[in-house]
Amino acid sequence: MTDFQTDSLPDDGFKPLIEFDLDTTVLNDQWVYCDFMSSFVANMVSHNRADPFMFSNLLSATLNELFETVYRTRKEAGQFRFRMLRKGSVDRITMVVPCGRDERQFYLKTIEEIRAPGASEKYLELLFSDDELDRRVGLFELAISYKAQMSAVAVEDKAVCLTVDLVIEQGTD
Amino acid sequence: MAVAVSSPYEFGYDENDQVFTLAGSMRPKDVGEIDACLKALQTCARRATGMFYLNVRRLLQSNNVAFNGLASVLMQVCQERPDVNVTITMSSVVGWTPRKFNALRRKIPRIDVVEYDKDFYPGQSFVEDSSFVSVLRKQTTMTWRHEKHILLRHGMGEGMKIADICCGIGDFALLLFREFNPTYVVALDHAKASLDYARKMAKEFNVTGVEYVYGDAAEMLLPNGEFDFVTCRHSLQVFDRPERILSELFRICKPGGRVYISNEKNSHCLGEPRAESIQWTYNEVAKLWKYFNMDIEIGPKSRRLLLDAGFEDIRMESFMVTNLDGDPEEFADVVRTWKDMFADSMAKERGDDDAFIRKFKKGFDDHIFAALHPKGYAGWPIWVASGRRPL
Repeated sequence: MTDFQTDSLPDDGFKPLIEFDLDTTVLNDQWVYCDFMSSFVANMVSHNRADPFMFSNLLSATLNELFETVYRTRKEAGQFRFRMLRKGSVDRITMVVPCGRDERQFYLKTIEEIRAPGASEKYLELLFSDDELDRRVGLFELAISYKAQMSAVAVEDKAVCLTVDLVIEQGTD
Repeated sequence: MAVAVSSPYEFGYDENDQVFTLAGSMRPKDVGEIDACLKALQTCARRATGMFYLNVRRLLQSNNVAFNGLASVLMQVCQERPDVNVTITMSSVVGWTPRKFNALRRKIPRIDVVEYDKDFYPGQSFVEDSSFVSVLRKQTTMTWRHEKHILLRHGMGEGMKIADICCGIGDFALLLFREFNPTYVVALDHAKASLDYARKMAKEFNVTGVEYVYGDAAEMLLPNGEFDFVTCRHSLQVFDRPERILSELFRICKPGGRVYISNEKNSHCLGEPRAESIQWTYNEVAKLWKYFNMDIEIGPKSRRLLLDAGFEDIRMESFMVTNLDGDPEEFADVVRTWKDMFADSMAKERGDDDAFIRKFKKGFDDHIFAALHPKGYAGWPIWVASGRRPL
């Protein structure tokens, strides 16, 4: 089992809210964990927002798409690490996913596509596709619909660290 | 309406209104998991004539798999049936829905998307105006003198979990918090300006135990059977279907808990001297509210409404807010604001002529005169009622 040290990642003044590790074998087996984790985290960190219900509803929707993306992308054995941090109205989510080269490429390439011109049209194309839903749709949704700032970096050549900065509620401090 | 309840989401179809309703959380791993629902949607939509409605007001969550499945069915129906139009009703309270369904509307213009909350509250724009804040605050000050004692007779006690629904500017929730030391208060309203004010006041008074949330009283996201005591004051009279609100109050109340409502019968407002003019004007207020599908006469109907909603052990009483309770100027200020709202806003919007509005305003002026007269008396009656949710 591999554990990746991400504590050294710069937090830029963000304060930690919640974090957990999960064995990837559990995440591979249990689809319902995507729903459980997103609902639980959203409820835990929404209580002091101006409108906790609305905040929790939107945060749960975004987290679920992230967890579903991780679920649908093949993972190596190891620890999946989730952290959520906050600075003012910005919530930062970091996820370290143990994965092989192809999967790291998936995250890195999708983030590139999201930043490229025409990403909005691509998102709608994916969302309304007649074929089986493309696993990129969740990341596109966060970037286009929720205006999330996203980045992906390789960690120790055995994992990828996905960072998502979200502003769900304007003006909350 | 038949509803499937074996999954975390529910669906059902009302043939009469051609409304397909989805509620709960739809987060399937693959589209096959919601096949029964999608097939039912397709069958119902194909059978529809004219307008077909998809109600997602209580669809709290949907992942992209479910959304893609729903969108595919609707797009297919629009393609197959050019004679059928689709309207999706959503709630602004369920934050994710406008983002996704508006994208669908842009893709298929024959699919319309409406926010149900806005249509449901016919006259709420009058009371959602932030300028109404001052009158609400004075009204609470005047009614609280009575209600803090009355509440005890209706089962209010210390350490309870309380929901104040249609909380307005949130001052009643703050008063409850200070007086009864509850474990938790959630205060819900549909007016964002009022909620902003409420949060500001809570911060100013350093109260952290009251959570103010934006919500639709007829489709609340609060869980079932959660609260020991649920209050809903001066609000059933603002809705054209108060029974919808009551069924929600019933749902969120714990079995054995109580729901407390207060309402008015405005035609019973009174004053001396100049009683006749005052009486005429308040009778006209009742008609004016009726024109906007609101019932300002609902107070004495509270007992029936609670019984019809399934409550038991109904307790009911009335009290009169008068110019003698405190500073008569407070009473006069409230009537001045009624005059502005009823005569200058509502009557004008109804299209009343100048002569009517002059006479209408005179009754309010006479009520103010009675309130401030050294020997005068002015009153505003309120009916309170509560019922217990059966165990």
